[in-house]
Amino acid sequence: MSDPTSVEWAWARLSIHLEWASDFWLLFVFTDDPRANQQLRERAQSQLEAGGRQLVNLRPSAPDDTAVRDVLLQGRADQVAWVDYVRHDAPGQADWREAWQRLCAQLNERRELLRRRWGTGGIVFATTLDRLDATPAVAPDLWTVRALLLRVATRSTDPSDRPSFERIEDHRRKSTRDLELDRQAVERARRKLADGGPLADLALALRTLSETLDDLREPDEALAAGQEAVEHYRTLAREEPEAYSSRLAAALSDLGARLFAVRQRDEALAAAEEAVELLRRLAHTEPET
Amino acid sequence: MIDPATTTQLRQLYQNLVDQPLWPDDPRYVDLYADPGWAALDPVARLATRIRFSAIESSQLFSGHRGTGKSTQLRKLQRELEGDPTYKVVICDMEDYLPMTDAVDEVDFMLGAAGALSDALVDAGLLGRDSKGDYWTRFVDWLRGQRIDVEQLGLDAKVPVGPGAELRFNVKANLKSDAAFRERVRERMKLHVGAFRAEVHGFAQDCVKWLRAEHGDDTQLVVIYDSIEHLRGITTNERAVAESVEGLFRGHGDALRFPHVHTIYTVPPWLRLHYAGTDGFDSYCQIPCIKVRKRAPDPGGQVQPDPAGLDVLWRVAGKRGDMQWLLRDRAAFDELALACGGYLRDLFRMLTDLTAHAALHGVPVAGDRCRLAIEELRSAYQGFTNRQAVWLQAIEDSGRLDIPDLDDQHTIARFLDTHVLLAYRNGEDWYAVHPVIRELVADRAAAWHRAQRGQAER
Repeated sequence: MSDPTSVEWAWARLSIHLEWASDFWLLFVFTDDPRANQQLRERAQSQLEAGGRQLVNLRPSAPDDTAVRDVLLQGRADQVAWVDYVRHDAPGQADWREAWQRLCAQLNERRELLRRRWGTGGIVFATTLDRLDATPAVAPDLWTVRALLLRVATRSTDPSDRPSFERIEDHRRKSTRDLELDRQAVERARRKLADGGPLADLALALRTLSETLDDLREPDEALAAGQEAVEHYRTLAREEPEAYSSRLAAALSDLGARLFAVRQRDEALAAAEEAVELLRRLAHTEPET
Repeated sequence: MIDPATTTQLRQLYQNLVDQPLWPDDPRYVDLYADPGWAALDPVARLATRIRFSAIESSQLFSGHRGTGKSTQLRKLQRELEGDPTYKVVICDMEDYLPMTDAVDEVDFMLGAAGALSDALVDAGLLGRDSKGDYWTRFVDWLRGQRIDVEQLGLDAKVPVGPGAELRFNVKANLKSDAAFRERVRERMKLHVGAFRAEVHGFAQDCVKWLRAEHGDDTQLVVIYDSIEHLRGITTNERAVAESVEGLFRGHGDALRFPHVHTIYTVPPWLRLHYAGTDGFDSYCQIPCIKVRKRAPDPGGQVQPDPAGLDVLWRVAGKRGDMQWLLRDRAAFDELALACGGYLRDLFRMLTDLTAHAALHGVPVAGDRCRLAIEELRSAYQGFTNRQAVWLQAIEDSGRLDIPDLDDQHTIARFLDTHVLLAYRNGEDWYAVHPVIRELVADRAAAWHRAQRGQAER
């Protein structure tokens, strides 16, 4: 357990704090992974309940939901609140980022009230990593008295901690595919290609794997698979444009989404523009496509 | 497996490292200024001396980064002054009276200050609990006397005052939480500001008279208005709020000087950016960070540790627990102390982190873990651009807050607020970048210059 940005590291640190803290405290968790947030929260809840305390899970239903703030200001003496703002904005939107800033600013001026209302309890503020740099300026008083700052950049690598699909509450999967089978399909396609089999099978397997990985919030692996899929479809489209240009366009469109997910926005735009251009040409030459 | 005795000791240390204002008689308290080398910096001595030497009244500003011990020093000041029974000292937390995220003007502030004073005197038992000291009631009566329609101000929230008493307008609640009310008050009071100033000054002097009637003719009133430095906006109105605070203290020093009262106002450290003279106040006293490094003789010069400052931090931390036991040796502690830049909260934060680590891995903590704690601290100070790094580098090199562009001063103010910049003092105030990001600032500033040169060549 040597990675300071892993769930395990964060949990080890948080667990000790929950056990040893004796006065009001607040801390921040920054993670892009809702499941990492969920894991930490559930473990915290178990530990607290074992000690006769409660964890109050506060998750806004919408960016303009003020109920979280109201509950925090009412307080629950000696309990622990987990404030879940691990919510990503849609491209071009900033609703959740602004909601986070509003909450921070509003609570920042009520720091002493929070201290009085939560007694010997505490508050965990969880949000996305891209808000780390701005939070000190938005809530300097809360930031100054933070007991802990946890950054969780990766999912837990402990297989026993990998959540089953049933426990992923907020993750609406687009597909029901099994990751292991999709990986196996790629390996099988590679072996076949080595033996003279079709490149198209590998391209398809990679594109499918990329989609599954994206679904499971593995953006880096999803990007790698998607990039390789595009390269293979380019090769195929050069050799047989009628058969594979539309599939190349689809793969480029997917790739754009993967690139955006890892904040390579310029490259994402380029991929998307190439897909659009390809589809325009196809529409012009094949109007019924 | 860590033995139970070690775990118990670590747990105690973890709890001792919680940073909170201390009373001078707390066993964890260290009087930094008892050391002869530091006595000249003692803010309590400076504030108290000004009060004691002022013939009738005084008005002072008090500043310092969050976590530098302002509240502790104010408590110490209260204790010290109250050693003389003629001094009656009250501390008013302005967070309870004014919204901290909206622009403030003279009227709001004076109303909040007067109300806070009346509450503090009643709560401290210095005046009887009859209505004469209740400024909120007096304010409504004054409005009527000025022929200002109270109902038009929207004062419809009422609270009972005492069992069986008539309902009174809840001015305090409206002032804190109702922006429309504050706007209406400002609007209706536009032609009455001078009269209101006289009214508030009159109330303050009445308080002094009542106190002297209760406690003797020599009684002096000291009012500390705390948490004003918490006045800051949110992202959309940050500049407006900062300008309103500056306007309040730059332009209304006379209004904030209450006749026959000694007042102290806590203000944000960035006010120093604009505070060239006294402007109606008797002094500006700032708590600096503990100087753990000497000021570089030249821009970009070698930074030397300051052994005296490191010794102070060693003493402060030692009051919380056995640092030698936790860290192995003094050198390991000094590495953390240099990294915190003399900002106590950051030192305690790193020590807390290492204490938790020791709970799993035993004592003493390994050197590489200390370096990781420093790295974790660095992650909290990354919020600046390459362009801003150029300003920060200029401040680091000169030690002064010279920023030519007025628009940039609010950004610098934010950096002071969030401890990206730290304030020190040796004869004069000087400023430096937080040590954990000094190299990062230099790198980003260099990147900015390279980018500018590249653009110019194109």
